Amino acid sequence: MTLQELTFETKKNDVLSLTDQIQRVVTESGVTEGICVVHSPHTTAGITITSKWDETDFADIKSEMRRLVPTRVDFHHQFDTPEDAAGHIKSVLAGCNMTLIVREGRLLLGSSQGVFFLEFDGPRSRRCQVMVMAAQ
Amino acid sequence: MMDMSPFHNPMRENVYDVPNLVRSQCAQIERDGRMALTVPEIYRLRRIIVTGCGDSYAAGLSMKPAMETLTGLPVEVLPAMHLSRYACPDAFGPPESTLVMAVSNSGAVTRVAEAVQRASRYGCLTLAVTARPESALAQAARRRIPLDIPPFAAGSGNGVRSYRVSMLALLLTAIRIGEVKCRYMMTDSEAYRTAVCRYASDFEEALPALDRQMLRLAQASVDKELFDFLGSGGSLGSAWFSHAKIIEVTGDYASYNDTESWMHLNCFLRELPKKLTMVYAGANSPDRSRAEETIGAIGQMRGTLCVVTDSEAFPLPEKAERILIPPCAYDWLSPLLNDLPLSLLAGYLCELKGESYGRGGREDWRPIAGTDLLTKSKFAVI
Repeated sequence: MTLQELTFETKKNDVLSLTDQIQRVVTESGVTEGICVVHSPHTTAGITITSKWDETDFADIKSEMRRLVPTRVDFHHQFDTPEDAAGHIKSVLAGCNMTLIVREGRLLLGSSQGVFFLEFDGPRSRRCQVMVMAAQ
Repeated sequence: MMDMSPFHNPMRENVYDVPNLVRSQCAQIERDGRMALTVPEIYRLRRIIVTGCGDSYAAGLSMKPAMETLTGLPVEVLPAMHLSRYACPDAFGPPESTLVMAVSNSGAVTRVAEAVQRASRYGCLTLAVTARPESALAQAARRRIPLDIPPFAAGSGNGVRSYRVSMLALLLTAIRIGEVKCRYMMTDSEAYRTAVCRYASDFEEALPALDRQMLRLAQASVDKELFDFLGSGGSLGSAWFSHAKIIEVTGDYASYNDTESWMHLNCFLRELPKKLTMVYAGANSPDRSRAEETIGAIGQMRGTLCVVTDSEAFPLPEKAERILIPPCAYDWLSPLLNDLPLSLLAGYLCELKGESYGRGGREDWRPIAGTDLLTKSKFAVI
């Protein structure tokens, strides 16, 4: 089993590809058949799989997330900021972790798929943990 | 090394306590005052009025540029008398659109409570900055930022500590409002609060040298009878506070003005050999060019000239004494501490002139001794 932490800087409401970094962790682990778990330890960010080909998709994801969860002033969570409260909800919708299959030393992803970090705040210093486990 | 001990005085002890007070109160006020205003209330605000009397009024003047920068709202600093008796009802604005922050550590000053009651009547959101929840001010206001200034055994510092805490409460509220309005990130808010504490620590390091310089200056200025203070932006509040300390502590005549207005008025004062002029001149202050012109003019006149600056490179006339204070991350933060050298000077002048704070409330000053004239004034809401 291997556990590594990725660290990176985000921009405001960023969509950041993690695919290559996660694949590197898998390769370095030496695991050929198994499971890879990606975890974001943040409450205003998420992890998702989406198309990697067209960056206009990212703009759609960002605008639809904002449409679904607009930054309002009447959230019950008032200790921080309205943007922070909205970020918490977007993070819940996107999810904070992901399990991927490792086959023949590669992440088992569709040809269009990439793993992306969704920033619902930013700019921030962020991190993600990646664990790779070999199949029995 | 000069032996300072024969000249120790309560003002000096209070000044030395300020850095630690600022650091501890920054965390405490941030924690206790964070939820004083709700998010919807903050978003309804269109302007802020700060009101108070004496040092509390000066705290508003000192923090006005900081508050405007951080909140993006216009900030007016009004004497409590104006707000309670003279302000036109229309001046309070549409309901809930104006935040009135009323500052009084004791909360017992009649005029401030009166001003808040009147502002509430005309629909303002009122926020008391006070230590006493049972006080007239706290009762009159809709919300309160609780202050809890630790008692200090060394005796009265003539408001040196409470003035600091009043400014902090205003500043931290402004940081919070800007944060909630998403004018900057929460990490930026934390950076602002960290800058406050770092400024206090830098001043703590600089105090011993400033202390020795202020004792020497006091010894050379014991015959001065008029003290003129100049500062612009937030440092107008520092100039106000400085002139107030001289009047309270030594009983000498003192005046204040900004670096522009001085050229229109205070420059005409006579008896120049008996006069000490102190200018607050930040290296990165927006008034720098005017401050340089004003300092240049004063340098050609008789009398003592001191310049409180955060730069060794700030150009000064030959006769001027440079009072070098630590630089801070933001020009608007400077007035939080830049008056401390003057408070040291005032304490030493009082000792050297054989004066008592507030004239000791004796003889001609007996009628104004105590606080009754401030707290038992006739209460009227017009």
